[in-house]
Amino acid sequence: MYEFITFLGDAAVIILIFATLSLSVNLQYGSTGIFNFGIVAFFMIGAYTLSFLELAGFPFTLALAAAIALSGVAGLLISLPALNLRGDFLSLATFMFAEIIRLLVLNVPSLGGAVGIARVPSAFQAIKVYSDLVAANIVLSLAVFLVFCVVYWAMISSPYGRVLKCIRENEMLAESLGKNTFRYKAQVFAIGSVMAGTAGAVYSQYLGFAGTELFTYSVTFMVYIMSIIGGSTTLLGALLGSFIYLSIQDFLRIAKNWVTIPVDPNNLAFILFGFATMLILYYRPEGIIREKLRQVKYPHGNPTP
Amino acid sequence: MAIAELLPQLLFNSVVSGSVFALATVGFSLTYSILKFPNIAQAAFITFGAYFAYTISSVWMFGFASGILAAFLATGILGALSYAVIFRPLGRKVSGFVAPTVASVGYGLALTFIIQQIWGRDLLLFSTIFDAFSFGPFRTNWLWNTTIVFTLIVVVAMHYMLARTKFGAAMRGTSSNPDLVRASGIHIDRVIIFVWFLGSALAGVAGVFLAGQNGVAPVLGSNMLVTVMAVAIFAGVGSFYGVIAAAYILSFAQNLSIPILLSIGQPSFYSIAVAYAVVIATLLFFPRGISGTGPKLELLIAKMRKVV
Repeated sequence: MYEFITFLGDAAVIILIFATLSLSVNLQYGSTGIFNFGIVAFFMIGAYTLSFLELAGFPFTLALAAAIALSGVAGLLISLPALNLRGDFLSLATFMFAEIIRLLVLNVPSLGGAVGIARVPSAFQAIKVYSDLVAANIVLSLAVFLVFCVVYWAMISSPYGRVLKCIRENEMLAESLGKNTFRYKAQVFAIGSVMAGTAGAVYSQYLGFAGTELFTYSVTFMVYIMSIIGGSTTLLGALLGSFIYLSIQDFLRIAKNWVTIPVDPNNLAFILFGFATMLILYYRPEGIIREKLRQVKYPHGNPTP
Repeated sequence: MAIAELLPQLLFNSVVSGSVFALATVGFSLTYSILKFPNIAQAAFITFGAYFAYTISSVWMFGFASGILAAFLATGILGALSYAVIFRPLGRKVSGFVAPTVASVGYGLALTFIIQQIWGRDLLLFSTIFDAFSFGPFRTNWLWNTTIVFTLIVVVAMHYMLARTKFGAAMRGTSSNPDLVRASGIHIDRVIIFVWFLGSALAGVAGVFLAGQNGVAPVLGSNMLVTVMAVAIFAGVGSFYGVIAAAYILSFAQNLSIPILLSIGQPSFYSIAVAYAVVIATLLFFPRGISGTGPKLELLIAKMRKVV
């Protein structure tokens, strides 16, 4: 029973970390319409920055701050040239960028190389009991997720967020209303990168490890699938998508101890997600949780379109 | 000095790997230009072709050549079915490129893991072993020779079809202006299904050529995905001739940069990173790729002629 609770706690930490990543997709893609297909690059930048600084002897808070700053700056720098591109080319350019970063780290031994960085100190070095460590990490990842939820909510439910939605629906219109759409998009890109970078920092200190195999482009795919399944336009959608994805994966992994399935549970999980993604995109493209659109009340009844 | 000695072999190797790049990318590029989304599942088609050929040639022992043929047909049918069952209905229902892109991610995921379920995760080696021999200044083997000859046949046949036949004209029209083609009374759907068939079939064959050398594992296709995208972007999306040129240029640049980088004491991986960086630069500065520069060059030449 004790082990099972620890297992659930471990799952909760991972779910919260990926919910933060998914939230960054919801901000960039769901709310603003920027299809950033290189989200894993910023996840990785956060993880590696934290790992290096912690190993160099800096305290966790400083390393986390540096990870946040670096991923944000990287996001801003990438967004400046990339945002000039048409939507689908933007996605391909960011995708390539993520792959270049990964190859760079993979092949430069001083950056960790193929071995990765082992023994990244935990944020809670005083805690020696594993279950307490997991509990502390739940608090940390929950705090990170909640902070970004507040950021997301504050951005979306303000005039700022309405500009973002206008950019998503019709960028020309936003431009014609005098909004500097490029600046809005660059800001969103940078804030989304900060979210991903922070998630990466928490992830690597929790695992005690940072390696290139954790940051392949399939992470980007996974996060987009979570976001689409849960609902890419809402705050809860990010959490729900991450929860559904990771809990089904874990459930199948446990289930194989009790029932014999003719299919390998890991394979089955991915096959199911693949089909679920296609079905949801076809039957419910906004995801499980839909965006509540503001109803405008006209004094003389709604105008006919 | 070392580079000059290696040059013929490097050229030969670039032609081989460039041929594989070209075969793997043609379908991605053509379907991208027609349906306006990058089909991530192309990676799974490459893997599927390799495994299918493995079963035919090395499990049922029909030989390597029939493996290639079987992979061509099976992957082609798979691609055509994927379009008919998944991407056509989706495209009719949802607009924009994001939904089909993510759907192709999901589809590729499902397909890859179905493949992994059927054939397992381990590296499988083909029973046919290709012995190296010297051919003029090159060291080669029959796998490489087949790769080059097959690609040559494909290029010539595609060129004939695109330039000389009515169907080819419909294909070109479909990728540049589908509405006009539809208005001219051509069944655009048949053209698209054929493009999916051909593109996937060639990707499957590319998978066989890749796997014939080093064996086949489920990651075979996804390892090629970034290269495929790089070639397609560098070529300029939708241009068949651009893809051929870009595939050889990129593979030559990659192969050539390895000894150069090594001789100046840099790790050889930069050759891949440099290639991707070139592609990002392509996107930023001339997003129509190298095929898009063609009309500009013609204009420039025409202007110069007027001046002279």
